[in-house]
Amino acid sequence: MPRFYFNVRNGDRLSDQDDLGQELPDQHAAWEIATRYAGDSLRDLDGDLQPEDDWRLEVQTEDGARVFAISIRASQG
Amino acid sequence: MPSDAIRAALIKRLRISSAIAEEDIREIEALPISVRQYPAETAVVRDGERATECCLIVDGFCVRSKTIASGKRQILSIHIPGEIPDLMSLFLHVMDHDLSTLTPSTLGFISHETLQKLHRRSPGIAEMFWRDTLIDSAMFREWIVNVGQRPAPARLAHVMIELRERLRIIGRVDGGNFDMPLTQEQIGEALGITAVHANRVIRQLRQDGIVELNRGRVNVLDERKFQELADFDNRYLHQSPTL
Repeated sequence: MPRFYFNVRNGDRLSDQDDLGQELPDQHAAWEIATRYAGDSLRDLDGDLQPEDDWRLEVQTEDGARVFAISIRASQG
Repeated sequence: MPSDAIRAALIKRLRISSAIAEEDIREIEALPISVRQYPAETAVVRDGERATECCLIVDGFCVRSKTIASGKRQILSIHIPGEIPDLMSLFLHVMDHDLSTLTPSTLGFISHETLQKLHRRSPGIAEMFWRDTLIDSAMFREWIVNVGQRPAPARLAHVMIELRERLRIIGRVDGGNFDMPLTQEQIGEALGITAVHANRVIRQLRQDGIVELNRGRVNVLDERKFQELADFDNRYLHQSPTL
């Protein structure tokens, strides 16, 4: 099964490199997990997301290719 | 297996949490229990099954869980030696959830008929069973609050402390360290998050110097920060007869 890596960036302030990854059957499974993880993370940011922040979850395969990304952009006004 | 080893954790817990009477201890010691070994990650009783026995955990860890239509599983509670996770099946005849082992486990089965005769002749034991199931409910209430309201790191810390306090009663906490034999996937299922997120939270808690979880063993790094993060109030465990 292919291994996918879920890397999180929160503007320039926090970058979380996934060095373990997870084995998943296919890209669709990775997409499902990414959307769920993004939603759960946003919930937990709990005020830590500032206006003009750019929260990003990038999913990569083992060879470093980016499969997709989910970004949440906050803005004031 | 000697009889005292089978019932030891159960009696220890009841002595502390319920001040069990000596004659009731003798009743429990005399209970016919059929002991069987189960491998890890194996169903003991399934959702929809009509049970005829109750299961006492003699050794090992089990979980109760429910799987929804999409195939996603929610772990509802973690169970340790001395507990009878399906005691309710005495009165709720069809299981509404799954009971499975996490680790290889030694399980003791007591027939419903035996238990019914027991609590009918011993009001003290009937009360204790009743209290046990009520404490179960209190734990579910806290689980709902935990999964519903706490951010993931606090959620994990809370589940860890809850497990620790229950293991402490049966003497399985070693200098603040204890077993929590769940995979990251299972931790995700308990907390309502993905395994990826669970992995992240575990790493974060270690990096912040609060607690580490390694190969199913929890090692507390900073007790004060650990408790503060978990927002843990042990009253809901009712671990004394006055609570």
